[in-house]
Amino acid sequence: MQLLQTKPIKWLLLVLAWLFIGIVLVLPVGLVLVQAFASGWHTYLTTISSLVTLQAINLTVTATLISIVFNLVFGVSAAWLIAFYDFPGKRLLNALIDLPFSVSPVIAGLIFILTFGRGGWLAPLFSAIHVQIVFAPPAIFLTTVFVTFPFVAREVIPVLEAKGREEEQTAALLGASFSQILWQITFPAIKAPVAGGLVLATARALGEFGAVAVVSGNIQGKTLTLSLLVQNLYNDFKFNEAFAVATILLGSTILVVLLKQRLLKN
Amino acid sequence: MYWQKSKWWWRLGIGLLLLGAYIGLYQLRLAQAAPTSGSGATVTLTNVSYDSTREFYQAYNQNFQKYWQRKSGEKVAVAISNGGSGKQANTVIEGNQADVVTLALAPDITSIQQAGLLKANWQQRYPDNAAPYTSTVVFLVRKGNPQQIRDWPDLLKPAVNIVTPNPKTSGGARWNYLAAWAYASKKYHSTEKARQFVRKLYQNVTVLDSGSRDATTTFAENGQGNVLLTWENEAKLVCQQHPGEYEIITPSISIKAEPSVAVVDSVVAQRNTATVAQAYIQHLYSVKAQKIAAQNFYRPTNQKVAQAYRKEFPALQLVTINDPLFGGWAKVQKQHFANGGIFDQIYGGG
Repeated sequence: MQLLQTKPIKWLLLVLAWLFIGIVLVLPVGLVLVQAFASGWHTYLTTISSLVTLQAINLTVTATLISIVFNLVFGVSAAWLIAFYDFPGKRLLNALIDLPFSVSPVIAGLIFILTFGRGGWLAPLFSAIHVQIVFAPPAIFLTTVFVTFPFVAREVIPVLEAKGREEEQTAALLGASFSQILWQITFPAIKAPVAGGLVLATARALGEFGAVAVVSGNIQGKTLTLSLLVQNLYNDFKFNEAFAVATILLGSTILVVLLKQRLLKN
Repeated sequence: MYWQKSKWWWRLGIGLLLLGAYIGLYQLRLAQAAPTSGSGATVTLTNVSYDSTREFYQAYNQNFQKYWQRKSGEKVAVAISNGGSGKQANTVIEGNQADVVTLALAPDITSIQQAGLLKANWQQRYPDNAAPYTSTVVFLVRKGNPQQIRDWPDLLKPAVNIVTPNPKTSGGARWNYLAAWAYASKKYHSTEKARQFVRKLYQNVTVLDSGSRDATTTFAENGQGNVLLTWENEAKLVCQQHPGEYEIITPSISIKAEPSVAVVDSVVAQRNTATVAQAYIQHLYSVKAQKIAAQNFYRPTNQKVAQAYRKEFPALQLVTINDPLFGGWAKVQKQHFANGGIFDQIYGGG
């Protein structure tokens, strides 16, 4: 304990921590802001209120909302299943849920191309009903769901497993209905991990680049998410515009993090 | 409890207000972007293009919208997709629903044709080998031209560091390579000497990026190398972005780079857009579109427009891909860029 009370060590650690955060976080974020406003407020406002940007916001927000709903339903059901029941293939299912974390996002995009693209397995089905999947919004939604779906399940499973199913069983014995059990017993216990998982999924869905880039086809006004728009603008020498759009992503991420802290406090 | 409840109402109100403002803004922008007047359903076209055409097609699309509405009374919206030419061709092969493709070089469209999406005679269906505008390969140097680069041989000087993309992955890079080859062949009249010349040139390459736009960024934004080998239109765009920082050096001999265009037959058949897609390509040859091309630094193929803009585009000896020296893309691809071809031999340390 003597060691921990020496001032120099405290100061050294403090300086190191701030130096590190300063170089890898504060400086780059600061530069984004400087670049975003480098050609003035007018350029900034025109860029973030342009049709292309608004369409990118719509697409990104839609993809994120779909992922959130999917995450909530799938995550809680999968966690319930894995924590409360025994069945053959349980370990396999458990491992499969983790797959999107271990697979590179580019591969995630490519598997959708191979499945739904021209010549893919399911292509005849979807071209027969005239539904375009790849290089169209549906593929953006699919890949975003794919890369985010483990988040809620991963957070909830350990909590449910630790809690055990005794309370649910007791409630069932006392005659509670399924929805009563779900809303009055299980849900209050997993509120925090569900919220935490959703926050992580939202952050990932907003910023996802690799997988979405593969299936997008970069069609302006149709399949450009905010992240892809940033890259496109950057490649078109529109550096200030690119960083202006990046501030939207930055802002929404900060909002999500603040929301998380608020949720954890309650 | 009461105040908490009212706080929630406030939040909901502010949220709805923001949402309403957002939707209002979005509708406003949509209305502004829509073609001005007239009736009839809106047709959409998707144009899958390559890296450096964005400014040009943005201007052209507006012009085409007006033209098509006057001509047919139909409103048309054109969505554009930009990226590396070879990559873009791949997305079309994999199912990207492009009504038209406007790519950096013919082989990329040929690969789409080989996948069965368009007819084999695509290059004969429009004038000038289906290349409505052309470009060439020039040198971009830093202001004052410190290395005194005037023509191709200067690129072989030991102190020169060249930035150019990789011909194996980039369409633009193939034009660069072929331009060097054209100069050396015309100068020395010997394949062996041309090979040595081009080998020496690539020994001076300091960064071999995967795409044209990457190479431009490496040179102009990240400050690598003394000279960038690139498309003329790309070089002019850099000069426009950074006035007074760079100079364009036009060599004595270069290649006539022909970015090709085509209607994707199978897609327009499925989407029922053949007429408007064909008009979109055909209209690229109109005087107005040719002027837009020239304003966006592409060399027009229309002689009158070319004459009007001749000051913008210095005269130089241009070798085409169908020159006996090359014998067309099929031969060039096999001889120079296939695995184990001349580029591999000279760059792979051979």
